[in-house]
Amino acid sequence: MNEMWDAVVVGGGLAGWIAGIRAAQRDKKVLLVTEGVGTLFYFSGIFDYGDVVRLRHLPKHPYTLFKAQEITQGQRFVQEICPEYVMKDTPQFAFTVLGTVRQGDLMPRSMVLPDQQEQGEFVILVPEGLKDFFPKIVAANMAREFPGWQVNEKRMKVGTLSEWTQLGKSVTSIDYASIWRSEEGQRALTLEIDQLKREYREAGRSSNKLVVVLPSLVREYFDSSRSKPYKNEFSLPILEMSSFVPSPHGRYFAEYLKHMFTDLGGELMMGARAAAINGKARSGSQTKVCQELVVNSMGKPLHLKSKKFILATGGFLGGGIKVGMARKSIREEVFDLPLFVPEKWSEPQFFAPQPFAQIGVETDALMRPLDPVCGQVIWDNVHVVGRMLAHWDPWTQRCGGGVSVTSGYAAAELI
Amino acid sequence: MRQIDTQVVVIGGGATGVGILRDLSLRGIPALLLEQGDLAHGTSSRFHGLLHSGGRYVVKDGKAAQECIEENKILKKIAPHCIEETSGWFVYLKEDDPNYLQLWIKGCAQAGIPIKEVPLEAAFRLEPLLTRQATRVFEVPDATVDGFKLLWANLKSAQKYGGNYQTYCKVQSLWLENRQVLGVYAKDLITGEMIQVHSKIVVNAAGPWSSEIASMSGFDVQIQKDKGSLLVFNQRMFKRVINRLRKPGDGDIFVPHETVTIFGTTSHTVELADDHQVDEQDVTYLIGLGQNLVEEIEQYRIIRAFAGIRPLYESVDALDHEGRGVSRNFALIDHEQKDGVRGLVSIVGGKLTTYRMMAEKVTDWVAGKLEVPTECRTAEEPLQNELATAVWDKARQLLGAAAADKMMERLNEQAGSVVEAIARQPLLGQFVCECEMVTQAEVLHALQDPAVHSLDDLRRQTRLGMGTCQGAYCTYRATPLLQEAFGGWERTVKEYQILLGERWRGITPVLWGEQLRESELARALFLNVLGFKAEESVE
Repeated sequence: MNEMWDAVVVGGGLAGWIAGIRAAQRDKKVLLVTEGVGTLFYFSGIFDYGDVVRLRHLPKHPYTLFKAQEITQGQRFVQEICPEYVMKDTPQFAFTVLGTVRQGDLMPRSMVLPDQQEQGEFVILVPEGLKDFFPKIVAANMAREFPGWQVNEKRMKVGTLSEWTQLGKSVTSIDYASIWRSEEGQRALTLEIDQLKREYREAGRSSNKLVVVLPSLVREYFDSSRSKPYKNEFSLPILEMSSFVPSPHGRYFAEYLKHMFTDLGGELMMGARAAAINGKARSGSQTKVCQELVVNSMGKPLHLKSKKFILATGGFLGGGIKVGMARKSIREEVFDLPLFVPEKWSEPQFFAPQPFAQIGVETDALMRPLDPVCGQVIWDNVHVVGRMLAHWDPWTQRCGGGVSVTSGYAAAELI
Repeated sequence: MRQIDTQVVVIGGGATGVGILRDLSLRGIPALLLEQGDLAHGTSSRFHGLLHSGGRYVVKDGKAAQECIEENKILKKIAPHCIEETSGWFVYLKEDDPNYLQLWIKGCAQAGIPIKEVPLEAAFRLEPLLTRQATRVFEVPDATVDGFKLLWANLKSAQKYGGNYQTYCKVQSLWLENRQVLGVYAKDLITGEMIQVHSKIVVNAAGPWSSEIASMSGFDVQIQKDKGSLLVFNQRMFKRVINRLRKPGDGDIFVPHETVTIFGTTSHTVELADDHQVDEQDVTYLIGLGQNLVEEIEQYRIIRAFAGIRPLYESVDALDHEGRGVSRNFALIDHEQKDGVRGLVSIVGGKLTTYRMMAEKVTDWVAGKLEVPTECRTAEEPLQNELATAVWDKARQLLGAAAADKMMERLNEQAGSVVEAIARQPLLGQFVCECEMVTQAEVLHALQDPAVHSLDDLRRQTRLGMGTCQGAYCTYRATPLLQEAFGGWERTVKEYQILLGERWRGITPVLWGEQLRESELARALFLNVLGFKAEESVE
């Protein structure tokens, strides 16, 4: 393989895909190398940005690497590739799978909750045997969160699954999501909703304020336009809940990103593991230039030459950082980059911000890895994105999507 | 103040206390057991789950070894559903002491422990992870025992014969008059109510807390609280129990349980009876020792670390007063002889393997005092009746053989109603806990038990949260059942926090590798996907 790429993106999680797609969109010759699917399998469907202004004041938080404008550009980019995603100046909220309310920033239009001050009626449409979904709890939580609203449940069955549920087998939300994408599923939903509307009319009640609540992913805003023939409008407004794991949003979003990337001419190498790198120092400088990345694919080493390399292998959850027994070794796996490792490792309370979450690579403003001792850039043409960056906690700071999208997008702009 | 009248009060709901309750009940002696927490929250749930053959003690403590082998045989007979007859190996390494080996072989013969040498080639084939440094391997009748199951089986049997118990009921003081025990004063920790229990005899079986109980009336019971730390590995690394054939020391026992392996232990004297925290040094120390038996041990995922307190008895004439030197024997202290007070007895020391024998000795003593001539039947009468095959067949039909068998072992005679519930409503057969294969119907059944006050109590009854997810998924799946039982969203969230906090204490000392990833996943699940509020960290 003697081709020369403009960029090789290592890692197929959110940050990697965003970098790859944006680079391809800019007509760059880009290759994305990935071992697995990253952590998208538990994407709630919402991009969290967190309190950007506050986080930008935290020393070393990844947001401090970017201009405010770059953060906005990343958001616009998501909206461009997923037009159903909306963001407002005021906070938006969505239902969790438990029917509690959680804040979110960039989310599908169909997930955004109505005003809590208003009055109306939610009807939860409960698909038979849906795994890890508890209608009673959901209804009680919704009623508590929306005091002015009535909450009702309506059970529904889908013909193809009835034998399965009669045996006591539950159905995952991934399976239901694929049913909703079929003609049969769409028909069943349409019928159910039409019937609901009819019942209201017959009972002499207005359905004006009626909102049908459905567990995650019924609408098809991740439209990869290859397998999807149907686009239905329903006779009542639909509100979707965010996803639980394994996430239908994650599954279809990953597929969508993949198609978008290859449609734009990006090249993809899956199931490949980065094995080694070759680079050399610039004359008169300690900063090195990476010339090629060696990956193992189907048992063979491939030498990938590129002008730029984007490191998007995730943190310790995604597998980009390996933490050995008793933390005797903590390693970034591809470039063996030095890592920031907090002195205190964990907090005694499970739900507290955990120091270990801050582990990662420290970079300059161009996301190039720094030597923590002398502060110099180690690799001139390597950019670190997403969870691999140091000094943040996606869960307690609620900014996982924000950092990944912003850094992925900004890296693509550097190619 | 509530008043209760009985013949015997047993203080302590561990294996010994519950064993005593059963023995008393079988002999028709009315008794009430009082436990400050949930049953088995102390040492009885904090050990390696090894049913000793006695092999470990033959050189140092022939009497303990003999007791072990006798009880080992009895328990295999009366409680087969709590025991897996894995057998055990004693592995002698190149570097180990040849004199000890000779003494050990002789000791086993004297104690009546059957041993059989396993040819090395066969040993490496049967247990591939075993170190190639092994030079001789001997098989002994070790087995693994589920301490929770054993305790609940004893309790259910005791209840059938009229035995009573109350959990979350803490003894405040002993009731003494004219050098005679008249009962105890206790506090119901759930309602806050004070209880006066009138009895002829009080049995102090409080394990690591026995000295506290005795000192309430100024009596001295010398307990050495010896902390042993253990690690839980994510795999079943061995088919059998693996012991190192040397002078008993730290880190030389691997015990397989279902899909995990428990490895330990350490030995440190501590001050507090509930000092259960393991620190990272203990873990690295243990792993270093474990390498002697499994070279690749660092590659295996550790799910959690935990510790238990051995309540070792220091008799006055013992010469060696530190940890492993103290006898693993038990002692019955008659406070009439020791302190001149009638009706009070303390049972101290011992091991889980000998719990039944300890209970028998205590009950013999009590029966003597009460002049009840009935004989002990606990060595013969099985802990559970033959299960109805009809129920079992139906359970297998509904849940599949693996899940059905596990449930039948846990629920025993009470499985009938759970199986019925699943038959009526098949979706109740969904698993709340996939590791331990606990169904919704079984959780609902457990929640009906008035002794279950929290998710953590439920964990001990159903093993929910004890598997590889450490509560991340099963806690979530138990939500509707918890809400129903405890009422209200806030309480449910609180129960989540307590359980996950308790699990976290065992995870933090082993927070690396795959377990770190798993924990990060749990954090993402609760803090992000389910939108729980983050706590402030307390400095």
